[in-house]
Amino acid sequence: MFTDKVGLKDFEKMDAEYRDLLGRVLAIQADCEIGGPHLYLEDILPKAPSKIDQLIVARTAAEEIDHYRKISRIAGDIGVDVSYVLSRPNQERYVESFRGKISTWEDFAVFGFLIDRVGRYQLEEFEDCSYVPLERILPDVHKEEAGHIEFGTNKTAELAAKGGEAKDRVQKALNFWYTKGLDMFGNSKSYRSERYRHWGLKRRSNAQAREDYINEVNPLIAQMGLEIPDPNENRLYV
Amino acid sequence: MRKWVSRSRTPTRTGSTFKGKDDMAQAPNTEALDEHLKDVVTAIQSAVNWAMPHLQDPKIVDKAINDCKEILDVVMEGKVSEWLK
Repeated sequence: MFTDKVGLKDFEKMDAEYRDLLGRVLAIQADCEIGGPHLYLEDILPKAPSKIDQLIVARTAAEEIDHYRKISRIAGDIGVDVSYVLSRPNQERYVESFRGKISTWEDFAVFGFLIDRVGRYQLEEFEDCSYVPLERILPDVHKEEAGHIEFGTNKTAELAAKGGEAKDRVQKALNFWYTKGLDMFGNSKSYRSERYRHWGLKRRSNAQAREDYINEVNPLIAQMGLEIPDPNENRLYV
Repeated sequence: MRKWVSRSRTPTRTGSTFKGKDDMAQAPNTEALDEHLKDVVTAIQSAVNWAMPHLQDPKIVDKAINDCKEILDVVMEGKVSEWLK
């Protein structure tokens, strides 16, 4: 297990596998950061239920763009150009959750509640990681992601509390995004995941992170009076 | 400089395309794009922060939302070469 800390100056001396894995994870992270605004801005910014919600959607997108910028800078400094993800079609995103479009407020709310929360888990993997420039940007990014998660959680709970059709709509959105969220952790038997851990670029196995997530999110869903979706339905990775 | 392009769900284990010292050169436009996006983010945040205390004033709020939308539309187009002209 690799336990050293690596700075930009040391990067070129690192094993090819380390350099490749770091480039890869930065490209995927950058794609996910900018992938969120690409999913929801077009329909949700004009259609959010109130002016303050519209402003929050704009601010959320700005923060995600800033997260992209920070990751892109780290990648660029090691010679990895991730600017292509700024203009790629949603269907080509690395992570399946970002390949569609969000057109309803319920989906936007649940996306914040569930998918931004998976994003927080992904960022947690980099805490105390071996690549120092990546570790350094985490506190601010974490703080902003926490705000997105809180907003999504509160809005999901509000919609559920309305009951009736509003609750049905949010349950439908929950059923959709729950599966997507679980898949985002990847294959439980992923060889690459083990290599990330070997090089100190991630902390937990995919299975462990997914289990931690389920243990956090299921009680929240139950508290909202919503049904916990079937974790095995329409899954791509287990 | 390289771009990480593999779209395979199961790429090769290492699949490295790094080829030594030259690869450590900073990717083109790294700093310029960083600076540009900093300005973009600041502009959106300024518009939002300006409008938040004036939620009762539709003129101010609508202008802020429109300003944000205009800026965000350009970012979503992703035409980096045009931004950095």
